[in-house]
Amino acid sequence: MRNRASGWNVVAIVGLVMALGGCASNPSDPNDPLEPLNRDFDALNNHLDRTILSPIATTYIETVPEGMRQGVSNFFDNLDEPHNLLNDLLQGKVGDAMTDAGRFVINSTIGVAGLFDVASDMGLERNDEDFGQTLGVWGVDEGAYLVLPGRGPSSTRDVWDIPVGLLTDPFTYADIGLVGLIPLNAMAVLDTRARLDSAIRIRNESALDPYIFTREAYRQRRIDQIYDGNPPDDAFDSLEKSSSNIFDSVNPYNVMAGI
Amino acid sequence: MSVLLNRRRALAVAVALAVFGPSATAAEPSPESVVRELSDALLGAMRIEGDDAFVRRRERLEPIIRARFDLAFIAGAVLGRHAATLDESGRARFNTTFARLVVNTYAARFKGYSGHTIEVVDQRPMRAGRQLVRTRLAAPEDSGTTLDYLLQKSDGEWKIVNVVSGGVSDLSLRRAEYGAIIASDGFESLLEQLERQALAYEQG
Repeated sequence: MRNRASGWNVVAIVGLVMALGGCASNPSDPNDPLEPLNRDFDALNNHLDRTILSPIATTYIETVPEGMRQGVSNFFDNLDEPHNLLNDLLQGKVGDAMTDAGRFVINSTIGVAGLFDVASDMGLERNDEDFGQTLGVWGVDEGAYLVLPGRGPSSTRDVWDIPVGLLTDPFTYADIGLVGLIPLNAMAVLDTRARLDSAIRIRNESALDPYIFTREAYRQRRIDQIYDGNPPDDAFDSLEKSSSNIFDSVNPYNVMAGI
Repeated sequence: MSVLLNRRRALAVAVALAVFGPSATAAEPSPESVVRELSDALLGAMRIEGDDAFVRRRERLEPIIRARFDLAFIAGAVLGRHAATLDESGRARFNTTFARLVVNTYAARFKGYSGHTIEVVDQRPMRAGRQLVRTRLAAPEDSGTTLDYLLQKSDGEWKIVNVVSGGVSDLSLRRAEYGAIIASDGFESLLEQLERQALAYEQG
């Protein structure tokens, strides 16, 4: 079925979970067969966030001026350009590939090691591609929803971006040792968390079931990203075609899953 | 004879115009103008600050949201197949609380104006006679977010039935959440949670 989690990696993970005795036999959503495990990891992540990461991020946002925080974001976005470039090429987006290559060179040099995003001012807009989107563009189904401990929402398709990200990270190849890598990664995590802060606050205010809210928002965002902001009609209009069943919704993932 | 006929005809035309007036030929607001009207109201609300800003923003937004959103339709679409399990009074309570929650959410979210603009960027027909109008909300120096509206005709008037931002559909999100809560905790629990949420916005 097009909307069911597919792929041997899903079978392997589900098999492992069943062996550990943690599987639900009747998941509420066919694309979330690991819901009980995901909810546990989600609870863990929320606990870590509330107790450790959120207070640090709040202090960071309140004490560090916006200009400096923007510089930090620019620095990490710049380090991400080789990753964008690889995925642009894999998706056949030649124009975007040239833009991202240009961005990397300009921002690394004129932009002082990426601190200043001068390339955007020159009309080279930032793209945001990853290997999960590449797989999506290639027609790979979204797979099973995953909540990764310490990371957050993902899927059996999108997890493959983790090794690809490491391969394209310039610091994987730079010899700075743990003394350099640990603070650098800590800073990257803080930067990401600060950027997500208002979205997380809105989620906490708006969501009656934060787990489901996050899952649905994640899955819909991914489709939007794969289509570069122009998803098919079902993303906007999931109401039934016939007026007799007007309150029944088309499952937008059914139609878009094949991509 | 011909003079009498002409005068009678002229009188008939004059009466017809007086009775039906210019409204017979005027078009009701197009989907784009509905969205523009809402967008202006949202920007206006964003500019409101100070004491009781929430209340004043709600005063600004409530009339237009209740008029231009088909809230009863959206409430039904959000409940989906669960709607059939509710009696009239349950459905009425849901519709009332849902409408209050939608209004409060907009009044709470649209604040902090810093040079924002909302531009209509695209529109196209969708299936079953519906229309999509896409806008972009952006502050200066910001790439901004998409705010897309799905409209359909209700009693001859174009009304908003869904809002999608960054690809995330409000209708789909609510359907999934509310459906899960009805399935696990029941309708009364959902209603209670929605009332609490609406109240939380009012209390700031």
